[in-house]
Amino acid sequence: MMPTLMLQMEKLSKRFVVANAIHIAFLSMASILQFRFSKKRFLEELYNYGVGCFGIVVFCITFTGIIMFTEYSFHIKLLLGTDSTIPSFAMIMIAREIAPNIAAMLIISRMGASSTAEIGVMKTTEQLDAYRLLGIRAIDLMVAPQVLAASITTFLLTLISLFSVTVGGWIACTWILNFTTGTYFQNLFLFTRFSDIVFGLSKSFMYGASIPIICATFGFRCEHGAEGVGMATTNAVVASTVWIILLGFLFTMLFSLLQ
Amino acid sequence: MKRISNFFVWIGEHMLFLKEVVLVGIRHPFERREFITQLQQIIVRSLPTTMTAGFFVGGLIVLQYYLQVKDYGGESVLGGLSTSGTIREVGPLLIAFMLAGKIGAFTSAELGTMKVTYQMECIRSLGTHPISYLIVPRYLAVVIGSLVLLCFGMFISVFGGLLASWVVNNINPMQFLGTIPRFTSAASVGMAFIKALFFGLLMGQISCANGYWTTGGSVGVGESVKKTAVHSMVSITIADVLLTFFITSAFRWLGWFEA
Repeated sequence: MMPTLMLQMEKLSKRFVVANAIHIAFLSMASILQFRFSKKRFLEELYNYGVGCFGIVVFCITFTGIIMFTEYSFHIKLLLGTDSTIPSFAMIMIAREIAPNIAAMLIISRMGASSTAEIGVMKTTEQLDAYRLLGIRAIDLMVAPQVLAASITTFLLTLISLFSVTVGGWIACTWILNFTTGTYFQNLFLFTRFSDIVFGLSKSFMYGASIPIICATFGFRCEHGAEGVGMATTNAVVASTVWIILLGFLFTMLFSLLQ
Repeated sequence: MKRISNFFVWIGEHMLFLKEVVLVGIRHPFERREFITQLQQIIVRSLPTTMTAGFFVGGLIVLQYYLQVKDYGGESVLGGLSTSGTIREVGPLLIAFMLAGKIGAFTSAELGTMKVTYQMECIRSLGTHPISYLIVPRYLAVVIGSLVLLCFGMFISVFGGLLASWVVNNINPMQFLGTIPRFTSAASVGMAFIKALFFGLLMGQISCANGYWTTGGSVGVGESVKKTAVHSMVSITIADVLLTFFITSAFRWLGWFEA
């Protein structure tokens, strides 16, 4: 049963991109669960993703958070006539939507593109065939460590940037919106529940896991030399960005239907 | 200290590049055919992805706003609130991030490949200025193209929000549309246009300059593509903070925002 299924999957994945992505997702999941991915590569990727993206992700989310605070003040004043509760409103929005989405987009363009290019170059120069000849699974070496590393780092970077958003929001509220420090911190957790933070963080974990899978799929499918690699890189960035937004929408819809 | 001075050197290099582009653009005849080809390529290639992204960004923001304002009886004005929130802040930022990954990477990869394969020197030796033939039309096409795409994306995001709130939260679409004029003033839409224009300018400047400065073979092309994505995302975030602050204060001073 199982071998025929895998054969069918391989046949399908030669023809369709989506089937190929699902196939690679299953293979890397199996590689992670059976603990046979390359540990050395995992540590390297953890360094690349974590240290390479730390500055840009935390910086961008903090500044976007500052604008979210001022913008929420504008809108909630129109609705309620007062902006005394906006730290909490803005914090929910940032924790649940803004931080995971922006972190994922930045990680896509910082790391996803280069991972597609790396795998694509290996494919076009037939290094992947050489691995197969040596009996090494390319998934264990290239994809599974990245999936694990990217999901862990996206999760952690979102968490760290939530802390820095708290500080950024404090600056925005006390300088621009005339809050005092006490009212800001008092209102920050007025409506923010633990479930909001957990929802945002689980979302960013899923985003992080899906970025390397999509990028690797486009890398494995690329053909026609250097030009094909460039094309695959652009396609991978676009496809994973659209997928992130789509997945975020589905998650939010599911959650708002459950509530 | 070294890093700070490097930052100012970097800004100065960009300014010199801008000056050269403007001077060459004024002095040399404008390549209208090249400009129209580039504009058509940028808009046609990115329109479907921008539409998809805008649609789901609108839906995502509406669902999130609904969860937050329903306790205040805000369902009746959900359309106005979420449209204003999407158009003023979240929509331009997320769509610009996506376009920076797509248009910016594509433009700088193309220009970088031309540079490292000496096609620019070739054009110069044929008696045409490479900046006049390659950079000026691309620069203008990226600016105008991303402005058009951002406006399309924001327009579609209203539609996505309408559909999401209708299907998921069971809000009457006519009521959704009816409350939009109450909250979304012309000044908000103008602010969105100004933001889109500045984001387009940043994307054009950074992608063209990084492509033009590429050195060091195909590895250098990959480097400059990565640099373009990171630089344009960081500068878009900073520009977003500054623009929101200055435009809001300016419009308030002019009396266009009531709050």
